[in-house]
Amino acid sequence: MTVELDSTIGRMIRRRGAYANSSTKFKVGSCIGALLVLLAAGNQLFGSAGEVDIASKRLPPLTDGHLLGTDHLGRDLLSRLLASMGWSFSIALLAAVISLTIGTTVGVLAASSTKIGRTILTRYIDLSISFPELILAVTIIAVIGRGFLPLTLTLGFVSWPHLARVVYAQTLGLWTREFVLAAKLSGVRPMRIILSHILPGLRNTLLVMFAFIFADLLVAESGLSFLGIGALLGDPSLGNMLADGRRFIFSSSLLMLLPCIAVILAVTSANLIGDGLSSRSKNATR
Amino acid sequence: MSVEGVEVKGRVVLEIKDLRVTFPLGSDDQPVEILRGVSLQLCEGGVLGLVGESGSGKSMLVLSILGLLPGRGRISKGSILLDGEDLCTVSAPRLRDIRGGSIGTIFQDPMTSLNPVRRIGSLLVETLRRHGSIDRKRAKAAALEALREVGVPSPQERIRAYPHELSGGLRQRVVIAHALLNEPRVILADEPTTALDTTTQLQILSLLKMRVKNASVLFITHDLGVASELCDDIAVLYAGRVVERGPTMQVLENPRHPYTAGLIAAMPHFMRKREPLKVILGEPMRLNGVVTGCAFATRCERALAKCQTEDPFLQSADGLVHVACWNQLETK
Amino acid sequence: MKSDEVILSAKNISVTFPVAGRQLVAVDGVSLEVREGETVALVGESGSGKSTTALALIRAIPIDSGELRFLGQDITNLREKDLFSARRQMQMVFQDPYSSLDPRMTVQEIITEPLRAHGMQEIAEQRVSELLAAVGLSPDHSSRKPDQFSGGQRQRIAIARALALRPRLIIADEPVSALDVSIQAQIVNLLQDVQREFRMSYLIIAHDLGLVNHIADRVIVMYLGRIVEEGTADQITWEPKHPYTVSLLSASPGDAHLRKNRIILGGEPPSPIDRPSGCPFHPRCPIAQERCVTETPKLLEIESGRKVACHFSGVMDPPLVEIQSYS
Repeated sequence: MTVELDSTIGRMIRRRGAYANSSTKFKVGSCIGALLVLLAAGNQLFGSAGEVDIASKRLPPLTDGHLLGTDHLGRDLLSRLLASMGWSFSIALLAAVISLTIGTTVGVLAASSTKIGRTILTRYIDLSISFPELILAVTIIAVIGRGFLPLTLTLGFVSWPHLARVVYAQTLGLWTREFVLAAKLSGVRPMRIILSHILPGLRNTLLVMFAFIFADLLVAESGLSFLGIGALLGDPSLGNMLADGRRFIFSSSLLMLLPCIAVILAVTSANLIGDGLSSRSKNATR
Repeated sequence: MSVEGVEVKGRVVLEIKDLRVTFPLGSDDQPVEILRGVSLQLCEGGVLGLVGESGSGKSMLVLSILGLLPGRGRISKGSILLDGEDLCTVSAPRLRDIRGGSIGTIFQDPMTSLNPVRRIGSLLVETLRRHGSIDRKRAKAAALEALREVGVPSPQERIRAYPHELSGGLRQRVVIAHALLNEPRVILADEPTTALDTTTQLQILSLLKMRVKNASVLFITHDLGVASELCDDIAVLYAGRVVERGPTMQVLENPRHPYTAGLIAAMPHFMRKREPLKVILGEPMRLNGVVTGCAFATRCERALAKCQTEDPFLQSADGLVHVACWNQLETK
Repeated sequence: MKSDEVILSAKNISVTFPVAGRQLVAVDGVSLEVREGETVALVGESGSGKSTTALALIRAIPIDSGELRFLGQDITNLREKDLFSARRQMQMVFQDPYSSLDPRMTVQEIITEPLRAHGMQEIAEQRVSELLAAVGLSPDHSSRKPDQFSGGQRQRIAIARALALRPRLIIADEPVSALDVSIQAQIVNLLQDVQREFRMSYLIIAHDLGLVNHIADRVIVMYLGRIVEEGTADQITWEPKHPYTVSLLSASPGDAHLRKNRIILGGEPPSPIDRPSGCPFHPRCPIAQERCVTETPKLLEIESGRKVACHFSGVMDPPLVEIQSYS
């Protein structure tokens, strides 16, 4: 019998302290995130991707109605930046959804199945993790081609194993919880237990993981496109912008600086949201 | 120490006067009082049992004495006098000297109070050397002796063991040896037997009874039965306040505060068979704001109109017994 | 209300776990019966195997050998889907109501979960309000989540869930030991009230002999995976025969006025990893002889319903004296 009988006050204090900290992180992260998403979405709906106009290339900011100037093809830099943010965020978001779906399914199934099923699935997860993600991604893209959809599918497909492993461990833990045992002893069927106890129990973890995976995939997308193996040449992508701007890093540094800042802001915001969520959920379960 | 009816108290070693501790736990971080004016006296060689349920603030009292209040807890009023020295105002280095020096502590779970990556011996030697000028060799001999005295079998081997290699009872013996090392004036024992099995609990209680002769003990527990085994005096804590205090046998046989009486009646007893247990209604007090009147009034069967509005204070009921209640039980 | 109908009977049940390549015997040939309307208590310290026994009896863990019958049906080796109908008749209450209730469900969902599993949705709504009333909670609690309740209230919810299917048997593992002292009595009374109301049998796992004496009809004392003594609650309390029971009684705190003598056992409760030879209790036993080191005593029935496993049963004096009136 190891029950801490006088932990009531201690628990209140801990919850209070950690909550204040985590909620600040979460708030700051969501504010930045919301701003970025609003800008990108607004431009997607009302703005343009910027018309090519070779005559007015690389204009400095605040000339001819171009707030941030133009790029090396004379496209409005602000429109281009917002369009790229929309494009890159969408890929990262959709790929994260794919990753989350596959990872959760595999992880939960592995932890919930019989000994043989468990062995096969965990071995499969281990094998997938041991294979370098980048090489796998490059190989898949080489086969199915570049562009929005192939990139989304590729990134989603290469990133799930890590998530599956986390989900697997957490699900195993949930299966040993007493409330799950109580359900089992009441005759509740395994599928029902997964739906009503396991998945809700994983929710916080999945939200946190989602934020972190989004950040990872955004970087991955930009990286691949920067190397020229992600987005197609004309696609508005933060990685493409970086690649294009690289040549003018000294003459028109905004061309490279702005997409850089966009990536950094987006990744920071996702990480802050993830951190905030994770310490909040840790406190809730204590 | 006390003999029924006659005051033969020794010198006061630890005196807590009207201690109030607040935490910013209310809405908008309003300070909430966790300890609401606790006054206790610990006499030389005496064992005082502090009995309370979860949320009564008994662990917070221990942490206040040690100067280890967590978070943004503050001692807002009162004093803690150890041999006349106020622990609320001493410097941090002096307080570190006192912890492990004049005050030894025994916590509930020895697994968390012993550093898991250090051998028992190195822990004991370190404490000995930090609080006194003693060379390593003599310190080691003293550590061995300390282990032997608390009944650790084959201390020569055990001194090289890590905490996880010992059983729960042995670990708690090591913690007791550690607490006794520097011949402390006061030992704070916070639920030292709660995590142990019944037979091991008895071993540890009788060890404490035998070994702790020179120090005074503040023994914190939720179990009146355990308290009665060891303690000369008992103080019952409810919602951050002492509601009854007096010699153990007098309090147990003749409880005057309805809460104390309720706790005693609620224990499943070898005698009372089959009939339903007497219960204290409601739930233990949650401190989350200003308390008007007696904190126990909402659960009390004897509550008067006065109890809802006026906070009772601890007053002498009969010689050594002090009670904070407007409508105390008659003595039998 | 009590009848002689045996609803749960275990014969020679053993449970082993593989630990570091060896088979660790946690429960070693336990036989017991629970009759209709009766409360049986299983008492022991950590490592005695009492909780493992409870989990085996409710078929939460596999049984290695022996026979387990519930309501006349042999359920020793039934697969989960064949156990379905038996599950309806036996429920469990856990020690810690902070971990036995899903923090993400409402009280309503928690209590109706067993009903939904057994296709009884139609009556769920009505039964929730009945059950909440039976365990002393108000109907408007049903939409709240567990974190809004105190430990005692949570245990009430757990009891309501166990009652939902109107089981014949409830196995409760230390149902009050995680609760505050003032709340323990409330829950003990509640358990007794609902037993009367719903006519069930209890198998209660406990370590507190005072509680056991209060709540149980029969008591079974376990040590290191074996039953060492069995008898009515009064027999165990006032005429214990096994030296371990005697020591356990004598170690229970408080009650100084009842105590005649006190035995402080040496050593600690052993773990099943290094099991002593002969009688498992002999290294700590105050009256152990040479015979105890070599020969394991059998659990013998000395009179009807009274069993002891000791070569020198009844040699030690009972540690408590019966006082009829207590002021």
